[in-house]
Amino acid sequence: MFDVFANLGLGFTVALTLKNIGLCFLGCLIGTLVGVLPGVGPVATIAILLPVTLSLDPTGALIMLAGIYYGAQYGGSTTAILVNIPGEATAVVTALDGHQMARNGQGGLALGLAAIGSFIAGTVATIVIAAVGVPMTRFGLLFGPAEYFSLMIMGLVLAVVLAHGSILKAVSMIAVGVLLSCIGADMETGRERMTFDLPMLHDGIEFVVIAMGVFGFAEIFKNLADPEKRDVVRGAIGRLWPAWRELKENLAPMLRGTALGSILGVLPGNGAILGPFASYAVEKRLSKTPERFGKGMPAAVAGPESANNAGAQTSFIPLLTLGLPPNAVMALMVGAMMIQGIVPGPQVIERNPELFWGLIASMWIGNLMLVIINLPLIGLWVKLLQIPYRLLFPGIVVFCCIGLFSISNDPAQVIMAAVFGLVGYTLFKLGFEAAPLALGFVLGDLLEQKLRQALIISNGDPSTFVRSPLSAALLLVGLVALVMAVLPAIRRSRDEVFVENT
Amino acid sequence: MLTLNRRAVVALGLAAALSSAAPVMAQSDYPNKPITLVVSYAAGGGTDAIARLFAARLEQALGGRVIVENRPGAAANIGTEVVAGAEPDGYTLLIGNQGPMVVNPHLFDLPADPAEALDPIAMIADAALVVVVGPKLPVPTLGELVDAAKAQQLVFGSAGNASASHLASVLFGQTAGIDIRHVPYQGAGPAVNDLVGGHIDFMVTTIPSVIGLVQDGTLTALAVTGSARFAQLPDVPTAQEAGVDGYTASAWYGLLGPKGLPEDVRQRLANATAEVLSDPAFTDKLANDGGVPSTLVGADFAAYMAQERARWGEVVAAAGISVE
Amino acid sequence: MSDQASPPSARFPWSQDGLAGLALVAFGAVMFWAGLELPFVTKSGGVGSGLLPRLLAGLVVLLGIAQLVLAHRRPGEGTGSWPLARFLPVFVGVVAFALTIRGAAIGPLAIPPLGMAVAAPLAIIGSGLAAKEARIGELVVFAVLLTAFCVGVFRYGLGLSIPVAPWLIGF
Repeated sequence: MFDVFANLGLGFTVALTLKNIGLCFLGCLIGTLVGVLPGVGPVATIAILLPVTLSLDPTGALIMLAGIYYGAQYGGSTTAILVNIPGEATAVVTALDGHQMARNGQGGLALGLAAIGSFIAGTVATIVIAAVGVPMTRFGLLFGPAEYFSLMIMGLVLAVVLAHGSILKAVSMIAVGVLLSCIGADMETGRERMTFDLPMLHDGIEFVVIAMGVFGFAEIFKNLADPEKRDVVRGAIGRLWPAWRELKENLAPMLRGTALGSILGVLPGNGAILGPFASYAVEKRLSKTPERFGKGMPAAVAGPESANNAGAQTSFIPLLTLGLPPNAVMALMVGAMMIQGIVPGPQVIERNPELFWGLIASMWIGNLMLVIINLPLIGLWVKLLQIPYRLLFPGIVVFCCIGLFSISNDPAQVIMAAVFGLVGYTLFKLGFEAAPLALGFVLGDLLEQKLRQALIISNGDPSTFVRSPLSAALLLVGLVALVMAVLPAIRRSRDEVFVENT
Repeated sequence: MLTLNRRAVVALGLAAALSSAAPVMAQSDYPNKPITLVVSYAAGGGTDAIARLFAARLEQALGGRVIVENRPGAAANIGTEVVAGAEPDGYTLLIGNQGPMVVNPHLFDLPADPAEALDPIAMIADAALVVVVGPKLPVPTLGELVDAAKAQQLVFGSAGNASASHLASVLFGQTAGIDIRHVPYQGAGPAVNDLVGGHIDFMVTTIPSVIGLVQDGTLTALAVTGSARFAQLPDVPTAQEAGVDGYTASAWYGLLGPKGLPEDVRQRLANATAEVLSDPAFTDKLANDGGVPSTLVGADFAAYMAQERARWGEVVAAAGISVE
Repeated sequence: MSDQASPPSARFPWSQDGLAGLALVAFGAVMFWAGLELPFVTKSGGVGSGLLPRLLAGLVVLLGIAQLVLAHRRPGEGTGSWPLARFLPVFVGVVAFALTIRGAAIGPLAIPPLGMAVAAPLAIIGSGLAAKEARIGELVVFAVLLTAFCVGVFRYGLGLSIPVAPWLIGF
C-alpha cells in the first residue's frame, strides 16, 4: 500500500507542473465542449488533435488527450439531462431520470449530482487503478467470447428492469433493438443483411443516429405536438445546487455505482457501457420507491453517472498495464503513444514511470477540474433552457444536423436520424419506451459478435457457454434477475393483465 | 489568371457552383486553395492517423492547406468512389491502402475500379505484419506452429473479414499447407486481447498492435511477414528465414488522385511526397508506427498495385472469401 | 405517461396496445422477409448470418401477437390525435439540411454543394417555423448568428471537414 502512495507522489510531481495542469485543463475544457455538442464524440476530436499533440512531450500529450476523453463523458451527460440527447450509450441511462428532473425544474440538482458523483467516482477509480490495476487486468482477460456473451445476456435482462411500464413492451423493444443492430454487413462474411439495398444501411446503423432520432428529434416532435404541456413543465426552475441532505441521500448510490463501474470498466470491448445500466437496476431494486424511477429520481442519476465515470477511468487499466485498448478512444491513445515513440505494454510502468503515474495522477486532477469547470456552468446551462423554446429547438436541431453529418461526412445519416425521430414519436404514442430499444441495440451488436466468435472457437459446441464457470455464473445471475423482474409482473397480471399502471 | 481580386474569386466560385463542370487546366500556381485528402475510414483508425500525420507535413511541402476528410462506408469503397468521381485538378486526393485498392475489386462489384479510375501518385509507406502466439499455444518457432496446426486445427483471430490481418493469415495457411479456422473481430485490439487471454491460438497482425506485448514476453513473435527483419524486433526472423518459403504480406498506404491529373500537378505532388518521406521528423513517427517509407512513384506504384492485386486475387479465390 | 389528459378509449385493434401489437407484427414480418435469404448456418456449420436476425424477427412477431391478445382482452385507451403537421416543418428543415450541405441529385434536380452557410439557416428557419409563436424576423437574425457560431466552432474550433460555403470560398 505504501508503494502506491509513493508512486502516486511521483505522479503528482509530474502532473502538477504548470504546463501539465494547463494541458489537463485544456483537455477537460475541449472534452466538455465536444461532449455537450451532440454527435461530435471524443474519438473524432482526439483523432483530429493527434498531429497537434505531437509538438508536446508524451506525458503532456497523453494527459491532454485523456482530459478530452473524460471531459467528453461528462459533457455528454449534460446534454442528456438538459435536452434528452444521449451522445453515447452510457448516457442513455442518465437521460432517463435526468431529463425528467430537468423537466420538473430540478435540472440544476441533476447536473450537480452528476458532477459530484463523477468526482467521487473519479477519485475512487484513480486509487483503484493505482492500487489494483494489475490484478484487475487479469480479471478482464478472463472474459473470452463465451463469457462475454453471457455477460451481454445478463445486460439484456437488466434492460428489462429499466422499463417502468409494461414488461411485455420493454421486452419487445429490446428485441427490436437487437434486431436493428443486425442490419448491415455481416461480420463474418461481409454479406449485406436486411439493408433493403440502401447504401446508408450497408455499414449498419450508428448508435448516435438512433439516439438522436428516438431521443432528441422525437422529444422535439413531442413538445411541438403538445405545446401546452411543455410550457407548464418549463415554468419553474429549482435550486441550482444539491442540498447537503440530498448529497447524503445519494452518497450510497454514488459509491455503489462507482464499484460497479470500476469493475465493468476493465472489460474489453466496451464492457463499460454496462456499468450505468447495472447501477440503475441495482438502485431501482434497493429503492423504497422504485415507482419513482423513470420520473425523475435523483438516485437514478447519481448512481449511473458515478458508474459511467468510474468505468471511463478504469478502462485505462488494460491500456496502461498491457497496452490493450478496450475501446476506440483507448485505441487512439495507443496510437498517440506509438507515434511518440512509447511502446504501450506491460513495460511502460518500469520504463516510463513518470508517464504512467503522471497520467494516473492527472486523472484525479482532471476530475477536480471537471467539477471546477462544470459547477459554475450549471447556472449557465440551466439559463440556456430559459431561451424561448421557439428558438431553443431550432438551435438543437441544427447542432444535431451538424453532429450527424460529421459522423462520416454523410448527409444520409442526417435523414436517417430524422426518420428515427418519426419512429420515436410513434413509439411514444404506442406506449413504448426508447431506453430498452437503445440498450438492446448496443448490446445486440456485441451479443451476436461474441456468440459467433465463441461458437467458432468451440467449433460449434454450444456447451462452451456453461463449461466456463464464469460464463455459467453470469447466465445464472441473468436468469435470477429475469425471474425477479418478471415474477411480480406475472403475479400482478392476473388482475391487471401485464401492465403496471403508470 | 495569376492574380485575382476578391470579387473575381467570388464570381468565379459562383460560376463554378452554377456550372458544375469547371474546366481543368494546367495550373502553375497549384495549390491555390485547400486540398481535400480523402480517407476511406472513420476518424480514429490506423490509416486515419497516418493520413493526418502525412497531411500535416504535406502542407509544409506544398505551401497550402491540406484538409483530411473522412468518407467511411461500404468497406472503404465510398472513399474510392468519391475521389474517382472528383475533378482531376489535384484538389481531391485519396489515401489508398491495399484493402480498397487491390482486395475489394475481387470482392465487390465496384462502380469505380481503382486501377482504372485513379491515378497513382506515390506510395507512402509499407508496414510488415507479424505472426504472434499467446499463452494458449506457446510454441517458440514458426515451424512448430505449422506442426501444431497439422496435428490439430488452430484458431486465429483477425481485425475483421477481408482485413489485411485476415488475408495475411489465410495466405499463411495456404503457403504452409495448413487448415486454420478464422475468428473475425472488430479491429485488432479485441483480437489481441483474446490472444493474450488465451482464447485463440495465433494472429497475423500489425506490428504496433502487439510490439509492447512481444517485447515484454507476454506474446511470442514467430516471424515478420516482410522481406527484411524489423528494426525494433531484431531477433524475430522473416517468414522466409523461419522456413515458410514465399510468404510475404504487408499493409501499405499510398497517395492517389482521380484519373487524368495534369502532369505538372502529379509531379508536384510526387515531389512533395518525396520531400515528406525524406524528413526524419515524419519517418521517425512512421517507423514508431511500424511503417517503412516507400520510394515507389507513379507508374512503379501502379505496377506494384497491379502485382498485389493479382496476388491477393489468388488468395481470395483459393480461400473462397466472398461477400455474397 | 399518456399524451392527452384522457384519450377516449378505442375499440380493438385501434387502442394503444392494439396498435402497438400491430406495429410489432408488421416490423417483425418485414425484417423476417428482408432476412429470408440469409443462411441459418455457415458452410462450416457455424452460426450463419441469418440465424439471429430471423430468430429475433420471429420473436418480435410473437411478442406483437401477445400484445394483440392482451389488447383484445382488455379494452384500452386510444392513442389520441396525431398532430403531425405541427412538427412537419422540423422534419423538412432537417431534410433540407441534408440535401444542401454537400449537394444531392434527386432525379433531374441537381442541388450543388451549398455548405453550412446555406444548410444551417435552412435547418434553423425551416424547423423554427414549426413553433406556433414563430416570428420570422427574429428567426432569421437567430439563424445568421447561430450559423456563424457553428462555422466558428465546428470548422475552425474542432477542425471538422464539414463544408462551409464551397460556392463562395472553395471549401
